[in-house]
Amino acid sequence: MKLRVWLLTFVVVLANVSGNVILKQAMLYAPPEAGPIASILQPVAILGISVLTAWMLLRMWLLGMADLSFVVPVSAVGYVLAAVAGAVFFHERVPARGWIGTVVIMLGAILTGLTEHSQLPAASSPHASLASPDRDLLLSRDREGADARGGADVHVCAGPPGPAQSPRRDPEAADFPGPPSETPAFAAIPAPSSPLSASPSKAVTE
Amino acid sequence: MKWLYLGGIVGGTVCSDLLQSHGMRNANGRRWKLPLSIFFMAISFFSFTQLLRIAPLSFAVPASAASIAIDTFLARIILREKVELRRWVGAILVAGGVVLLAQ
Repeated sequence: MKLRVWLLTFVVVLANVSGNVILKQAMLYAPPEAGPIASILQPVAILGISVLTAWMLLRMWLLGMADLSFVVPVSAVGYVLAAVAGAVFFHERVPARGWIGTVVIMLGAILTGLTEHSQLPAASSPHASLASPDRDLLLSRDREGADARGGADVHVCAGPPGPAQSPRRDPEAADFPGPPSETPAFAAIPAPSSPLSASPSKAVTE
Repeated sequence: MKWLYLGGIVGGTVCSDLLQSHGMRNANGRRWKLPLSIFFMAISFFSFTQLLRIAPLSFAVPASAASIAIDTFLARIILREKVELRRWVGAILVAGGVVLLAQ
């Protein structure tokens, strides 16, 4: 998994730099009379835009596997490679301060690269929801709801997992982690007056 | 006006990154978060091109590097990522390096 993340990071950086270099090449050799639209419709420019589109899609894929706080600094190595590519392919002059900047970027990227690429629980793991704050929030809401009803039906939640108990994290709950609403998290809990909700011993005594 | 465009670049980039990261980690969010992230990316790109018309590249690129540090900060706050000290220092070094490189 770790090797896959690093390989994908390498491809993402390479796609970004090569896309920019191809686009720069296309803009340099665009006819002077070509307008802004015509200049990006020439074959070389279309190739550059295609590579940059691939870069965007690959980066999305990478963000699905690694933390944003990992991907952003590590993929900034692209700035360094862009400076090197500018100097090599287009004979651009990079001042001494620029080279110091590239060293500083590399140091920052290496420092970030030494950390774990993902420190969130994997979304597909069946244990992820057990450790998630959303799960804790739902359980605490359920306990509060049970307390309000006299604490009799906490055991109802131990049944087969419903939508709120599915292994995947609830994206809406993660989006808006506000205060617990008055609506119980498990709306399927039957009301105390329902005969289904009464415990067997209670039903016998009645 | 240039600060407005700069806000468009940084805001667009950060919103796009946050939406992509969250959307790719939650299958249910892909339907609207990824298209919305591309919309924010377009805002960022448009703002960048407009900023280049009124400001030098040596201002536009270093200033937009602020998004690296803001991305890391919001990843901690909104995405609840565990950002350890090495990552903080790494992100700040990268942002500083981009400022040096682009001037």
